[in-house]
Amino acid sequence: MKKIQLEQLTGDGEVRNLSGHQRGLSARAKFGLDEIDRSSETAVVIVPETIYLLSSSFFQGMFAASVKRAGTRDSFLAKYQFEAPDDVLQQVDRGIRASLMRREDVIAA
Amino acid sequence: MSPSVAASMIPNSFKSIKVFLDRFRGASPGQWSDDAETSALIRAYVRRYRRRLMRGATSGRFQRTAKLALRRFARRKATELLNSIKRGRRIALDRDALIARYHRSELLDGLYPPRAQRWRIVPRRNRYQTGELSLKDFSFIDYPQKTMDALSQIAILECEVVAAKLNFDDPYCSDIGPYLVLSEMWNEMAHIFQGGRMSIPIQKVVEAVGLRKPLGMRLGGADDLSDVWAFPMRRRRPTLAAKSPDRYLQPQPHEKLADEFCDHIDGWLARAAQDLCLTREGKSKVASIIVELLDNAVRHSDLISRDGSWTVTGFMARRKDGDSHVFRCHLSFISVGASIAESLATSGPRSGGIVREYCERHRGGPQSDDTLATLVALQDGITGVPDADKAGRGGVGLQDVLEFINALGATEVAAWAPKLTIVSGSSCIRLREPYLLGKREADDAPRVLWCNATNDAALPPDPAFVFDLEGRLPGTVVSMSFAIDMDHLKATVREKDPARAANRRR
Repeated sequence: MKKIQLEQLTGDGEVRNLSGHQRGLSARAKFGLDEIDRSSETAVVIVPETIYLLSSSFFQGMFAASVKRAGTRDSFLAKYQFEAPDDVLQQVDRGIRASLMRREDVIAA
Repeated sequence: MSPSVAASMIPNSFKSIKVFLDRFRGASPGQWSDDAETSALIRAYVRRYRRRLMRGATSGRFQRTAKLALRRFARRKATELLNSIKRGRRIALDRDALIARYHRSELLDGLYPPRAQRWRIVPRRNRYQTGELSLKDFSFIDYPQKTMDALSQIAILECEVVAAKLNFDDPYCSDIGPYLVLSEMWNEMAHIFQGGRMSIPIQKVVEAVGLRKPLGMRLGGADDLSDVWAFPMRRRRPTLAAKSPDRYLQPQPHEKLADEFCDHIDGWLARAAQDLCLTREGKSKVASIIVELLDNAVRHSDLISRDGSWTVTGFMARRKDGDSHVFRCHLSFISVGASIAESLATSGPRSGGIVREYCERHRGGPQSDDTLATLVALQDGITGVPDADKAGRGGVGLQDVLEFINALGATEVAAWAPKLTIVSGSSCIRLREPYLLGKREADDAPRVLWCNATNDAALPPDPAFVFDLEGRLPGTVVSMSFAIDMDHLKATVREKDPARAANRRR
């Protein structure tokens, strides 16, 4: 099981939130999420207690492709387990929901 | 006013006459002539002045010639005096204004398009032509058109007069956004603005957020800042240095700013609301508002580099509302460059198709295509970045911002309800009740906010909330205000020391 330590993005605690779409994309590349998705390997994403926010743009950049590949919330969480404070887990849920959203329904909604 | 009454009002002493004259010379030419009373006073004065000049002794052999000459002399001097009053006082020019040169400015040239052709160096301008502008209802949130007009007028004055005053005539600051725009423009303008009025509450806010220096102001009333809690202005400009491929793995300016802002709010709450502070959930909401708007600014305001600039500031002020106090929070962001509609024009086929379809449905209505496109940009799943659009990611930040503002500003008092206004290019979207929160049809449906009674994309948006402005702001301003209702505060804040708070309540 691969460990993804998001603390590595905080600059040794310089920031307490992770945000930005491009930041998420760079983190995805750094931790090799494309390879994890293609393999049968699972991963644990470790979010330190000091982080109070994974913004929706960051989550979209880092995990949206993985969520879409998994297809459902449960499949994604089976592949990527999150060890994080409760409020961050709620943000993960929001991010998963946004990734699985039926985007074609915007104008029909 | 009769000539005799006017004549009786003319002062006699030399000093009084000089002050009297200066009163009229200070006005712009033509200003005083609209006022019948002032015209009567000036005519009476000039008549008396001429009669005095005619009093010279004329006698002897050349009495007739002397009398004629005296009459001509008196007429000439009276005419000179009248012309001098009409022209106004010759203005002493500021040294910086004298050496000012034209600088291309995206913001100023956008607000006043003929600026490049009309701009002249200050010594070549009419030395008697001054300006004075009253900035009332200076708020994008509530008066976007008036505020745009005022900013355009400032750009025009900068171009054409030798000196001007700006009078900030609002009783207090209800939106820091226009002041932020002014600070963006200031260094690119000739320094012809000298003096003006500003109320003490506004002086305090301008001082507290750190705009006094960028605006080159001297504020005499901003000593006690104890009831204004400010988040000083922060700017981000793209670096010219070579960009490392790993730069996004490092902490970003907007992340640091979000942490700082949350710490500031904790400080405000501790001082203003007896040892309260934000919960983690509260921090995440506040930080989300900031980081999502700034991330949008960076990615969308510069369409080539995707590395745009932003400026942000905010403050909280305690205001009296009847018998109680309310804490009003104001936040503003500005990003100069491409507007939202211009950014969306570069989006991928999916988002681009949705924009085209929506514009075709409502073309011919009161809103332009750009304004309709700006409204589409608020919906979940719409992004101006082609890669993200193709991959089906992104485009959810703005709806998150609206959700969080609603949560932070939750209140039962209608007058305190949150408001958010977006001005981008010539488009204006005013979000407030009943149009402040996107809604989903189903759990996996996108959040949409179409700003009409049934929240239906098939119907046009309400023109009172979504409309075109006269004039164009090159870039985007987002201004918001919400009140922290103490009764609702517990949902987002907690007491730092519950035991101490319990003792206090006993």
